[in-house]
Amino acid sequence: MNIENLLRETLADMADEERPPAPGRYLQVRERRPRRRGLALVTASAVAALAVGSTVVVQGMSSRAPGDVAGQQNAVPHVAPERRPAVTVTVVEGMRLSQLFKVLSSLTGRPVAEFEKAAKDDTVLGLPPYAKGILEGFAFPGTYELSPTMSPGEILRAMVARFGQAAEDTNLVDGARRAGRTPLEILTIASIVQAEAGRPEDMPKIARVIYNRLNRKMRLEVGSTVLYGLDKYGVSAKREDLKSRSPYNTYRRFGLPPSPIGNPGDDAIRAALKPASGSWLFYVTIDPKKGITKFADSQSDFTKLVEERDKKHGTR
Amino acid sequence: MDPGFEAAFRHFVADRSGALFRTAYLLTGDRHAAEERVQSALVKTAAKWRSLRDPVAIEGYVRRVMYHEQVSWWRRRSRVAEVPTGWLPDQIGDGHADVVDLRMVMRAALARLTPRQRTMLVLRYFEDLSETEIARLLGVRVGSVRSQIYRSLERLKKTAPELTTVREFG
Repeated sequence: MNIENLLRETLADMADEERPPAPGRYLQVRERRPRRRGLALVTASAVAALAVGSTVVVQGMSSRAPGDVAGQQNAVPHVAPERRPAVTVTVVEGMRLSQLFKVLSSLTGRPVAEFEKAAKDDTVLGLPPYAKGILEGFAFPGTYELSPTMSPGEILRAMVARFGQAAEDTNLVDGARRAGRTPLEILTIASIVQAEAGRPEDMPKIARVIYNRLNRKMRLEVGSTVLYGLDKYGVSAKREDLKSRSPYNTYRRFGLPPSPIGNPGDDAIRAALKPASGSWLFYVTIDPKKGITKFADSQSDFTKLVEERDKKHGTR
Repeated sequence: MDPGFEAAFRHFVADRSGALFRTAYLLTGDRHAAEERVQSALVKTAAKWRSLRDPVAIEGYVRRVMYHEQVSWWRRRSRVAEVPTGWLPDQIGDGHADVVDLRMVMRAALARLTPRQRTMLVLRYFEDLSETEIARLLGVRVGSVRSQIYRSLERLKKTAPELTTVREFG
């Protein structure tokens, strides 16, 4: 036995001596009771992945004081208040308000109900008139820094303010007028595009499918709207979900759902304003993991795509 | 948001976090630091998810982040922080050990390598990566990997002379 083999064996021994933590540990909010009013320090680490509902949210704290990890015997070193980093929250593209409120609640230590209440207070939010008092769709994706003194209304207002910037950048109001839609309708389409697209490059095509179906007075038949109406998550709606009487069930109702089903990013808004040209009426996500979506013009081509998908993943 | 993302991310974490943790543990020698490494690398990967569709690319990315953080975190640390190992005697043990003790000696000797040396040894002798692959992962030249590994082995022998007396045990 030489030193290299001894090294191999020693490393293999060591690798087995500590049982890896359950995967959920990396996906959960590590909640700690706030020491001061306002903020709950989620972890002492620089960043933490939080899973809320079905969305993974990346949450970061600006900078870690050097030596925090160096004190390895101390897993969670005490962070002095003046060194405590600011807490940030990231609104992921397509995130629903219901998810966002849970994240905000865990970060601030305030109940979800406070955010729900603030979301209805139009005087605080600064929503544009075409929002008709609806916040869903207007909490723009991005990373926001939360200071301990911010009220729920102020936090949400920052998100609406950033939406205002994005609306200007994408020329939303003029673009909607040219498309013959209201800005709220465009955002509703963008939210569906965001929820349905596996890849950003598919967004304009998915937007096209939505317009083509609307123009032909076909039902949209989009699973993500149904799931939104039921407050469920998943890749596709189940058969019994499609019976739902919610206004978001686009398998039953004609036209667009009454409001956005999430908060789309600028790619999705641009796709809704400027769809690809094409005559597609259907699309099938062939491989949800790789985000591969294929498009079809006719029912028969659509059936073929469904068969292709089912062959790949077995029957659903 | 991409509907496949959440499921895929969960799947990846469920599937690979154990292996990632093992490597991180070998790199850091500390359970909590290992969890930190994995967590932090996963967060960075989540942010890049869209451009990393292929599961192999995903794992490669997570690992690259982990190795880089391990190497650069130590580089950022001041010399002062390394003092605690400084008052260990230059040599561990008295030059005689049986084969079971040898592994303990090896561990102690490993703990005294620099993080860069240790990272390279873990990649070479635990992950079984080639010198070329290690060079690519860490963004250094192959020659540098080769000489670092050689020097690390020499340093192991120097801090623990028992290791040089390892005979053929069959």
